[in-house]
Amino acid sequence: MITVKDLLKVYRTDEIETLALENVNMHIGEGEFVSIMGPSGCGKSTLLNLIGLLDTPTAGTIEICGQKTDGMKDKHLADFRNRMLGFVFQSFHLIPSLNVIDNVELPLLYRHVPSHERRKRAEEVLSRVGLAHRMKHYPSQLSGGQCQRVAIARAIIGNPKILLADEPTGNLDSNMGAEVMNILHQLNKEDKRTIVMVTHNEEQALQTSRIIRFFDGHQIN
Amino acid sequence: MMIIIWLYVNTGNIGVVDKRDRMLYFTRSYIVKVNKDLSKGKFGNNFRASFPVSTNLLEKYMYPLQTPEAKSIVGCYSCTVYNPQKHRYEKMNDIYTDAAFWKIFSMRFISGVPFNDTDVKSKAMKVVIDETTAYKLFGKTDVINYPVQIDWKEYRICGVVEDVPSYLKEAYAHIWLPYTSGSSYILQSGDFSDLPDVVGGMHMYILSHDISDQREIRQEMEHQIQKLNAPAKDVQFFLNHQPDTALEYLFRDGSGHYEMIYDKMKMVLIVLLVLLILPALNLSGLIVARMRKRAEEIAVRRAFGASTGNILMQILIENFIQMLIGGIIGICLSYGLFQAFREMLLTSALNTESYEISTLSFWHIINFSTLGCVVFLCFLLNMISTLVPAWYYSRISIVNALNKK
Repeated sequence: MITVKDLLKVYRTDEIETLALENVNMHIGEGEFVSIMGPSGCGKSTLLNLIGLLDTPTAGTIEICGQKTDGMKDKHLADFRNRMLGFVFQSFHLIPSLNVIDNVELPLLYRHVPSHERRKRAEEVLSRVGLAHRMKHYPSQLSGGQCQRVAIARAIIGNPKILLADEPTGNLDSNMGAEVMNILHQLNKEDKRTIVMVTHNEEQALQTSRIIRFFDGHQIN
Repeated sequence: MMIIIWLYVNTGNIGVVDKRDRMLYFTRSYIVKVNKDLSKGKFGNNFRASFPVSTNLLEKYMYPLQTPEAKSIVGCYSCTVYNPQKHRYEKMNDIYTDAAFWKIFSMRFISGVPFNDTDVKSKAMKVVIDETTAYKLFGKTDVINYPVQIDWKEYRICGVVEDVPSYLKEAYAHIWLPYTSGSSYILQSGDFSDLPDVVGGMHMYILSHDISDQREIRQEMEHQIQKLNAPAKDVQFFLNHQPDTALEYLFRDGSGHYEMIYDKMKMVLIVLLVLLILPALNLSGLIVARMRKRAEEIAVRRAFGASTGNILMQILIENFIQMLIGGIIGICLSYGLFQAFREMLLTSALNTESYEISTLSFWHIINFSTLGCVVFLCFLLNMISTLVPAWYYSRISIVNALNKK
């Protein structure tokens, strides 16, 4: 499903070069729930951003669902992200000026789905994450756990094959964190969705099918 | 906005001057030395003089023009009128003209009729006066056949028209008389070297059937001037790209340099552009500040499938809608401000008397073409100010924006 080969990411400024990732090779199969662990600054989020096509590698290749991603033009890249990938961020990144249902509909907007269809599917996914009663609320009116559930609903509304979660419980207390993890496990088991999750939480990582560890930009195992 | 209004009032179809788009203006005679290349309109030392035109030249060479719908000889002067109510003489603006004048301008007659061709040919002592003058002289407008003393000659009033405001300079006067009834100084012609009777105190307004006829009218005029110049040896009469359109007429002067017209037009354009660019820069700064705040949202939209084109369009459309709303509010505000300050705003801009401003209603000057022009300029301003920040922010790094770097 996801194949990474000889991945290198270097951040360059006028004065310094920072090696974020080097010689990363991995394969993540369809339906896997993989955790990426390591200390802060080891390159976990960088890897997730590269797999999510939010950033471009300095060298190496990333293949998703058999499709090479290097050299993709902006429009193709945007379409690929829209159909194949869903993102859950640590700080939710909901659009504050939109209410819950509009936030959730966002990926379908760029797929030109008619509005009644968008609304129907948004209601379905919001029911699935237990937030059908909060559709008209704005992000500022929700708790952290509820925001993250909205973010998950937004990530899965387009039915992407891969879900990329960057410390999805990092900003939540243990109860809310557990609720979010339950939803992610449900999505993995029931929908056979591939999930790649960056986490600092060893306990949560152990519940996933595989852990890939990083240290100073290098893959350890 | 004021520049657009000024341009519109001086060049648009407005009030009694409602056929300006079909009008041509022949106002000056340019006298130059013979056998010189005049094609570029730069005379240098060859230029001898520039004057208004004589009635003789206009009658003999311009009246025979076949292509125009109407041709009118016009001379704008001031005259002394005896006021029988106050028993004193008063200075007033008058126009010496012919019967075609009433075809070119749509004056509204309150009573009576204009003088006709026969009146002009027979040098009839008839006169048309405006409503204010009628009230001033007689205290009423029903004054047909009343005698009136103008420049110590007695005329009979044949018509009373609604007042013409002074900003409609082609038609503006208090009194209109047959040009043939004028004093010798009105009708006099001057020789210029071996060109007899060419310079004087008149000009001609020409009304074409259609805008497309104007080229043919120019050619016909050139042909007539060739006839005029044929016997001359020392100097020649030069049309210098006349007849003018309303826009050219607005900027023409007696300097003899045709390019001067376009230099002045360029100056107005530059002022317009500066007035456009300064707020555009200011607006651009505001948009950049707003985009910076929305960088995270843009990154989220891109992460979930928006292309840079989608983002660019979104920003442009949002700003266009804001501009439209702002424009509507602006028009409402303009309406209020116009009503409150129109005397102050327009008297200097149109070089007119304050009491005449009352004849200009808001919707009189803000018509569809003016509004269209203003909306287009605002659209341009919006584009200039939005495009660069929109282009930049549609291409920002998603990761940096999400991490608020």
